[in-house]
Amino acid sequence: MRLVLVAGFLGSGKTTLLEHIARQLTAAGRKIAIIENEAGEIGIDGNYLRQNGLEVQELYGGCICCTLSVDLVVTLQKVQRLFAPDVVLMEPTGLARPGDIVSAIRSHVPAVTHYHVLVLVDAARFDMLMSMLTPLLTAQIEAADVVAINKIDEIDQAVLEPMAERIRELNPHAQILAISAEKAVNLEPLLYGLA
Amino acid sequence: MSRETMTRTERVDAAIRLEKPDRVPVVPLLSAEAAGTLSGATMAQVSNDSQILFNSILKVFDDYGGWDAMHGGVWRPIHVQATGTHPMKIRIPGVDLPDDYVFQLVEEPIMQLEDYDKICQMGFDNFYYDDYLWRISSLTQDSLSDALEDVMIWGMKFLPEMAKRDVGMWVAATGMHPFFHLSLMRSLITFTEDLYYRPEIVEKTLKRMTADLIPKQIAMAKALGHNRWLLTEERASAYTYPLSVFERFWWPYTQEIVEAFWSEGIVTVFHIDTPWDKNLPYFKRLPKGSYVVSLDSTTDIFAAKQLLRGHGAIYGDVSASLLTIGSPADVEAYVKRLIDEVGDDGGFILGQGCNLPSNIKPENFRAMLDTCKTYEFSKK
Repeated sequence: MRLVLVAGFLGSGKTTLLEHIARQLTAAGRKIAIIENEAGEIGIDGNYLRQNGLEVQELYGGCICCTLSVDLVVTLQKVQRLFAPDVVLMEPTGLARPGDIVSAIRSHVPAVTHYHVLVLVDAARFDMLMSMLTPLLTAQIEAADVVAINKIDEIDQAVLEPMAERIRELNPHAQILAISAEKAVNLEPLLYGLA
Repeated sequence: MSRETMTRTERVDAAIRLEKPDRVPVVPLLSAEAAGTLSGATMAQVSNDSQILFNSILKVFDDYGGWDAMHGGVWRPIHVQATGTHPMKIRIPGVDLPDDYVFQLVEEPIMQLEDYDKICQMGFDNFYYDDYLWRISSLTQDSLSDALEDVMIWGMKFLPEMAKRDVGMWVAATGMHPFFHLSLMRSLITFTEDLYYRPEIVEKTLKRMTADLIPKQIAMAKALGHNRWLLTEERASAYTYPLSVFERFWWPYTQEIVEAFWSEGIVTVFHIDTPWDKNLPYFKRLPKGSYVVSLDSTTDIFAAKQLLRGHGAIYGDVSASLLTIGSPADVEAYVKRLIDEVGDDGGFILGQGCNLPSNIKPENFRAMLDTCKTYEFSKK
């Protein structure tokens, strides 16, 4: 079972991207399950996805942070047992550090054989977030296999390369992509190795 | 083997005073969700029926042989909205969610930019009850009165049951740090934008909310005849923000709050989630004995003990993962380590990290309680 973690702050475009990836992988014949932990203004359209053959688990926790990793582990074990999907797409809360989640899952869910951590950053808010939420955003970027700079349609293209350079300094190993999830720009590379 | 020589209340009070009690006190935070799981009730039942929640809490206390102070009570999702403890939309099991789901706080920027001025002008409580509450809740004026009355009624019913069991409350009053309150009401990113682009109005509002909070919560603690109150913060640590933000927007208000309570003889119990390793050195600026830090297992509690030894009491920190995925032997080993290394000279209260999780294993909960109640005596 392959786990794709779609991480990033509330409003960074995770849900839009996650739905896109889910549809593409389903069209490619992969059996998909989704674990959603972010309850925000625009939630995932679970009913729509279920009607299209996907299993959606909305993982809700009363506490925002402290039981998250263990709740994700327990939910993932349940999803694996009940549905045996090829790929699980997991959207944790924007306050989560993906490295902590991966570490917990590695310890407790041996059925996951491949990990793919995709971190979205909001291009329009990148400077502000890097300045104010430095520890959290840094930890998210450092844990990423792919950093997708989202909402590139909302920024001056001249700032894109300096932004990518700052991300590269934090994580030289991550693939960096500039995308627009809303307008479906440059999303194909996100599916490499998954479909 | 020696045995207990203190009452439950004496034991807890000694630990708070940084003394070494007859044994380390154990005070689990029995959330409604854990009470439901451990008593066989559904999340929907404990979220929507005060009588079932009340019975569940007492049943768990009795079935597991009790503990040293009651932490938690008849607090349903509607109560936390009505009292302003969680100023967010809430999805409730059995109403908005399936019966076996845990209630969900919804992160949305409900509070608008102009509301900062309203809070500064009206005061927080007036803003909350005249305006804000109706944006997040399906409560009406009548059902709000009912919900607040429900809190009082069940609180009063609790007291004789606790007296019968010779157990006191862990804390009386509870409050959210103004910084955390605003972050939940504005949502993390929007609030962070405010800190960045318009810090002056945030500071003005924090000042007003602090000034409102102090007399209200001191009066509450005094009315209940209790010398501890709980202050919750989950977003101000160096896990989320750099120390420059902490120093400007969190620490000064915290120091003011703790010192005001301490001047009235009231100890502030911090419920602080996420890793606080880089922030804890600031707590040494507070008066000795004026605070307890409750750690959620992501802060290094052993390093915290070295730092705060003889200065502030520590509460914690059997993790949610240990209680859910671990074995009783794992729990026992960790509790013994906590007692040996954090409780060695007193000033320590054993509890879970954050909340008892809703998917807690009963045998792990029993191992946590029983080990704490017997380990030190077994060594003598």
